[in-house]
Amino acid sequence: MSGDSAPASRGALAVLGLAPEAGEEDIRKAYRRLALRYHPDASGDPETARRFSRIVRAYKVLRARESPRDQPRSALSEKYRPVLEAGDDIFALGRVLASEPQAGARAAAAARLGLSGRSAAYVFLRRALYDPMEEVRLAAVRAAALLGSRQAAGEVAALYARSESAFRRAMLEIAAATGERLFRDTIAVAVKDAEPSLRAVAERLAADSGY
Amino acid sequence: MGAIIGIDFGTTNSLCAWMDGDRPALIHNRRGGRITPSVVAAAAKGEILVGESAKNQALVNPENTVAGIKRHIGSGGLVSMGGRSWRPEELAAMILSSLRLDAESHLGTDIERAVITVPANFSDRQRRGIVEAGRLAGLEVLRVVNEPTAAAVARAWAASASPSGGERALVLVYDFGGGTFDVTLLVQEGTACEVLASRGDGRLGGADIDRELYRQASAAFREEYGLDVEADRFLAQQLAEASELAKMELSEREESAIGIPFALAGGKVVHPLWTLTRRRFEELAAPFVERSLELTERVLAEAGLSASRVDSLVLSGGSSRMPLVRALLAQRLGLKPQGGVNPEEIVALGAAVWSLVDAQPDRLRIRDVVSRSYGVEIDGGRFVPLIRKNSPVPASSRRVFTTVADDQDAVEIHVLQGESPEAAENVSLGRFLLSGLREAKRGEPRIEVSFGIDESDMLHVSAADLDTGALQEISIVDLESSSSAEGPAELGAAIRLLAGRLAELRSGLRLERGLESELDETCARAAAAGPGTEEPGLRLLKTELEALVGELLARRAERRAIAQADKERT
Repeated sequence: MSGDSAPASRGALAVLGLAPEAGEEDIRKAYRRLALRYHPDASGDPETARRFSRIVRAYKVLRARESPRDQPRSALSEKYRPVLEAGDDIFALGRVLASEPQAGARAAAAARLGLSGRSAAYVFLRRALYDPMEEVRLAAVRAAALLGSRQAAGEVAALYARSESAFRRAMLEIAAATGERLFRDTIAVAVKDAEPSLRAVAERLAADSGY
Repeated sequence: MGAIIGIDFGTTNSLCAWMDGDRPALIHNRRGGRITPSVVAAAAKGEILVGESAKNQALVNPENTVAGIKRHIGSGGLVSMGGRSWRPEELAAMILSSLRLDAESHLGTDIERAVITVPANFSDRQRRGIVEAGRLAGLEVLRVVNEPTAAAVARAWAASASPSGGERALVLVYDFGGGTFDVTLLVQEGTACEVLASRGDGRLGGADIDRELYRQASAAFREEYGLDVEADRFLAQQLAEASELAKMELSEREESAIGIPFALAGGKVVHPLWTLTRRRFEELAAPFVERSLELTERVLAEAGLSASRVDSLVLSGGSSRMPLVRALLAQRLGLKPQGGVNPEEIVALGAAVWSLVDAQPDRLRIRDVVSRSYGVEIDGGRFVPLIRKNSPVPASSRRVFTTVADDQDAVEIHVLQGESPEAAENVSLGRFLLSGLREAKRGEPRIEVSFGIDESDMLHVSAADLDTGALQEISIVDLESSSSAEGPAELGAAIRLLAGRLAELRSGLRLERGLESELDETCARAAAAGPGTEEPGLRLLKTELEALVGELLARRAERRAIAQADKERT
């Protein structure tokens, strides 16, 4: 596994809604999708433009990594048949999240819901925040950030408050990478974190974002 | 397509009706009766008996006869009969199947669809159990309808045909059946019904009075004749039946006797007889009727209305035939039942009328109550309901909580659904965090938690620190909610409502382009949805709209919070 990738590329992956172990194929696909959706045309709003530049920057960082670590792997979501079959149907993906026994499949479905670009996908995504497996919960946080779901704010903050420190750190990393508003409440809790290093990260984030 | 039947599946008796043109009519069973006892039995050769024939042989074959199966629906337990174990749903299906066959031979057509009534306080599991039983009986259960609401609908249907029927009326449905009691207060205007309040007791019914009669009679037999009824299942069964008969007889007569001829006590043949006057019977039944009146009074109090405002009292269920019921309702509440209504038939007739709801949504509109309690977990794992089961929709409630530790700066709100006082036994719907609390001694901060359920069944929960103004909220779409209770008519109405709300919520909000176009696209689909749209599609669309409403509500709350923060800074 390559889950120990450098923080910079982990952050870049998070901007694309991807887990640290995502393969080249995942990166290309996510980039293509997101770039299409957030490409600012003449009438583009500032929020979209801001996101777009983050996405482009993240993709550049990932491309510049010293050579692909492994062979180009097939996308994670394609490893799991139910996720593949669900395609872009948010209801089918929601069913995978609710019933698939393999944690990997659930995490892939959550990631896919994030890439759907549909705010409505959050009704299904929110149940992944309570998934027994850490990887699924984290995938849900990434996906919610990707969707910019503000309705996730309180639940994501609650997840932060009840999680262990490694998980809290991973959440702050996503918050830092994406700069999404939904982490406002999470950061407000994190500045009181019992762990000094996390507190420091949160304070920096709070200062950057101005809340 | 075939006809749709309406079934009143009761604890003791079941009835079946259909819409004969514009008029609900009862369907007679193959024995020519209107009432089919809810009894199933396995005869000696493994033959399954249902209804009257099962009840008739109960005396000689009590081990293989099952009555009152309704009380076990959805329990997950097993019932033994004829040397094997059955799920309660399977036994209920035998009764439903027999009703279906009766209807088929009566109407001369295939019957594949039904509306089935249940007590208002039936849980989701019990409702699902009924749907399952229907499926096993070869019936697609279009709807599971609350019994009191069905009774009200039958009344409304009859009233709307009369010249003065279109007027607004306050109706109280007092439904005292064999196994359950329900009381519902509703407003009726033409054929539109709106439930104001409803309460019930799933363990209060005529069968409880029978049991009390049985208990006293068997005590008398033991004392006077030295006869131990309990020792002999045959005798016990005989006495149980005699008790029920005596109760029914006392609705008409002043005196009745419970007897078991030719019983053997201490080697001697005795003919124990226990004579009961109506006065004595009423003393014995009074606590049960009292309990029903107490619930009735509570429903009126909940709705904030006095009994004198009630325009029409509808009695339903066999136990409401007791003269004591009528006397106490008149004496205590000044209410007289509406004439021309057969309490035993009205629920089945209402179920039949209900089969028209989807076909003619304009003729019949019903708004119902919340089917489960919703609330939060508090310190010590206890569950505090904020919206109680059976509250009319839309419902809302708020309550102030506080902190449990000094200088606590955040509090987690754990939202649950269920009826147990223990949070762990209820279903968790979500947890969210309210941060930015005023730092103070424990018990000092005031955190107001509000719950609201709107007409589309969406749950909105918010928490606010009344001192700092910090606010957090979530909207929860209940993805598991029983889908059978909603037909295309209600879905269509909910979709229109939600689309309207979205339009309202988005005005004045600055949204990113992606969300704008998603809103446009979803609202366009909502506008295009019509009678031709398939039901699953409507359901999905409703969920999407709900999700978007949740998002916009959060955006509005965020905007308020930012404005508040800006104000404090300057």
